[in-house]
Amino acid sequence: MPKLDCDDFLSLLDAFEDNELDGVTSLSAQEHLDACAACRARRFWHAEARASLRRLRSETPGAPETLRARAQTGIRARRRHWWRPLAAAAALVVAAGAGYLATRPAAEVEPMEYALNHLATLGRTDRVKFPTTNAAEAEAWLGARLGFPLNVPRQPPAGYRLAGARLCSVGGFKVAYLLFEGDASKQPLSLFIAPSGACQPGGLAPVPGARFALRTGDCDGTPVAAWEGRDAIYVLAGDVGLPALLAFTSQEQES
Amino acid sequence: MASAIEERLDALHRVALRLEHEPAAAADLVQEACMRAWTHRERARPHDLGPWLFCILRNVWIDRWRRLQRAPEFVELPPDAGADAEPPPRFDPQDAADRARLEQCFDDEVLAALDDLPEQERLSLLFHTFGDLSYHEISVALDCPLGTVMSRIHRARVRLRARLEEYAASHGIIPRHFNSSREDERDGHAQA
Repeated sequence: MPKLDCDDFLSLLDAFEDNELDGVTSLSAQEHLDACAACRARRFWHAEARASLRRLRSETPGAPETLRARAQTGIRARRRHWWRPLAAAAALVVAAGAGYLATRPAAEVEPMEYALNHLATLGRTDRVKFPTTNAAEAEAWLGARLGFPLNVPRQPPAGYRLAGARLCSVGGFKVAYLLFEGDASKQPLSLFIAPSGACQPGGLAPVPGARFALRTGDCDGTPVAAWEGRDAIYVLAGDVGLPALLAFTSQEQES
Repeated sequence: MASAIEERLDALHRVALRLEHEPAAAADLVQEACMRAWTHRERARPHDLGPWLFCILRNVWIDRWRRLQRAPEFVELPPDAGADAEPPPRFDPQDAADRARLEQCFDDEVLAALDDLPEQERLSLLFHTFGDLSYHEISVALDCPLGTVMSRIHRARVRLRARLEEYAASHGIIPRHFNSSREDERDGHAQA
């Protein structure tokens, strides 16, 4: 059994108190302790200090309810408002450009136009004109107002539900708009459905291995994905994640 | 992320109270740390959320401290301590009735000693004792090796022990000439 001097013992004191020493070292420490009055005193005061810390720990209160409420309110406020400056800017851009774009239908548009439309919608209180959670109802409402056939996907992206529909203008074309909302931790998604051959978002990168000509890109922090349907172009703005996006895009084709 | 913050709110508040002393200042510190964590949540690593939150708490505390250092402060001078000071109370540690009072005095002394610790030792010990972080988590939060955390906490405890011994000697609980603190003196010189 190795003999310990005072320095050895002191370096092991915490582990000795916590019973974390192996058997042999623990016996060596105990043997030194039995023989050394100074280290017995050190151990005594060491134990007093640790006991005092334990008492202080148990007496120190956790977060009061007022702080809990303040933290939650602050987080909710930031969760709700982080996009407001962007939305305000987007609304300005959309308003300023609306007159020009309305007179100039385009076969290809910047994906940013979809992203701005998405952000501008999030800043509105009346995000949808036709509130519904039923895809068939939304499809009928949109079909009666648009001059092209469209299929509204029956299954929303994982973790989301349909909130409603309205019409909007992209690249001078009237297109369908559908809003999907998730739980409080998720930002809403915007799905645009435009007629084939019109307002195709350009500059997006193809997703290798994906079907239906799926292309994705990032517009100043807003993810945009576009894919070809049978009679329409679908553009999704918002962060849904690639697996959910692939599942969502495939159902329109298979319906 | 919101639930991760919520889960650690108690531990964050306990550490904040020991850093700030005033409940209102501690609450402000924790809230600011939570908001900063939420704003930068994309930087969080899921397996290191606890250490990351404590790292932010530390950074916010340092920022606030620096702001206060820059602001002019009016200080009320304490009355002359020596003029009307009462002699220190004397304790008999063998007397059960004195034991509770003695523990209270020890706790006060340890609290004061915590404030006097070098910053890194203080943060390491507070994170461990009041924040319930493991040594490994503290090494992540303070961005230092595990061995450094262990030696900081050990040194911090040695200083607390020395403070208690000094207190006990000054109150006649142990003989004034008794000295078990050669290691403490060595550490103190090293720090100086």
